[in-house]
Amino acid sequence: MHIPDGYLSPATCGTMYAISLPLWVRAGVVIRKTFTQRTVPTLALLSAFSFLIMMFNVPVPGGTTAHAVGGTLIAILLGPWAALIGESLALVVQAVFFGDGGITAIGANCFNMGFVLPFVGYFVYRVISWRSQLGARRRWIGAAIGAYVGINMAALVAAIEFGIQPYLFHTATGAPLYCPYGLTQTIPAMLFAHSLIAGPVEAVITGGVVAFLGKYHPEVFKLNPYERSEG
Amino acid sequence: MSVNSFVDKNLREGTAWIERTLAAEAIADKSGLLQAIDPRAKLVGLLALLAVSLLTHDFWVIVGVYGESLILAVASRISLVLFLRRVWLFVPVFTAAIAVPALFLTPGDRLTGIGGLTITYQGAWGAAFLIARVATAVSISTLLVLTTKWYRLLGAMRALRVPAFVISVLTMCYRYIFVLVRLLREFLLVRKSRVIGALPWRDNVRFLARTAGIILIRSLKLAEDVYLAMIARGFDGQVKLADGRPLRSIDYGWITLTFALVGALIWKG
Repeated sequence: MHIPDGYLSPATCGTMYAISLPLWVRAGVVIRKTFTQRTVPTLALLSAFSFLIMMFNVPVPGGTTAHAVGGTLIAILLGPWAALIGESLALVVQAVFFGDGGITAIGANCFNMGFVLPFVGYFVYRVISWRSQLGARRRWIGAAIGAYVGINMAALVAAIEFGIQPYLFHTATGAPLYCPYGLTQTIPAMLFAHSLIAGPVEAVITGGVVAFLGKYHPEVFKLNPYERSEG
Repeated sequence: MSVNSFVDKNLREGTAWIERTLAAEAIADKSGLLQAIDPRAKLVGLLALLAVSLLTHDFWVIVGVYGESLILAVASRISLVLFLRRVWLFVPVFTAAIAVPALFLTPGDRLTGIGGLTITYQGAWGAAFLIARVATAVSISTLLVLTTKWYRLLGAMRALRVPAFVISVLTMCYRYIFVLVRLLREFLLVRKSRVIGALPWRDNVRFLARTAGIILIRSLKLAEDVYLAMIARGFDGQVKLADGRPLRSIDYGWITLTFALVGALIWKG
């Protein structure tokens, strides 16, 4: 789902930066309140962890492997705003220091994978696991379903960003200047790939980690400020 | 899938990633053109070239920027084979697979046909634009990554008004990525040394989920240790970074040259 440079027009990239900027500012305010002076090392390690999760090759039945994103997992453990910052910084490090993923597409990638994915995933998780005990079955089931829905929503948003390109940006003769496919092609293609492979991988890893931590380290869930406020 | 195949794949890719990073550091140490330019000036110049390659509606302007990236690679003593391999291994995997169907799927005027399929004029140009833009953008970001030490790039970002708080988090994040990659490799090696033959997919996924959970807990503990070490060294919650040295004539020369070229390409386009 990492969008490289060249697929989106500079106007779309600029718009996505403009949309992401207030979200980053809001996340910064929330995070500073949550972690106080520990913000710098906590975010650094969180971003490094997000980076690592995106490097993981997860086995898929049939012999191949796929990568996870991990946004819903971080949102469940540390809150959705921490997930936004962690994923965003990991994407910046990938693009700027390792040349993976577009520099101009950072705004779009952060919006899709840093905002839509963890917020949707976390919302679904909270609805399903509402008022359940830490370590309860509903927790990891909610985490898996949330991760599945979150990554598919992020894929849908990415498909819309791709799909509007040929309508808005083309030459006088009609040749597309950026992503050449319209919405009728990008949406089914992205949702097909994510609902069958990336979605289940994200669900299995997220559900698996939440089940494991719920059983052996339930105290980790209390780092999420929304979990703490519920008592 | 046997346990060793996916564990091996993770180990192999992790090693390749570390080797690639070390190779890039070695290139950044060479005495070439881009290595000699201040990272602030280099970042501004390369971003200007990137912006032109993405903004232009003229295919030949993109080709011109791509040609310049090749000249810059040679002038910066980057092996052309390595440079082309890094860029053109990425392009076919992620872009040609997407661009090729566009030849047939984009509606428009018939250009030619293969088998029963029609290639349209608009489809051919659309595919050419996409491949050229992605190859040029990847080339420019590769030039930046290969010729700049990561901490100098952070200094350049600071000069471009990225907040000190973000810079300090990125600095620490970069360092700890390597710590966590090493930790992951240890987990994988331990697993590899204890398992013979194939395990069910379910067990492999359970192992990965547990590994991810443990690494997360270790990361949080490490963050706490790092915080205590920072306090011990006098950290008071405020991030202060040293200012960079002034730009030299070679840096101004580079910026002037890049912007003159960008202007010429825009005028031509």
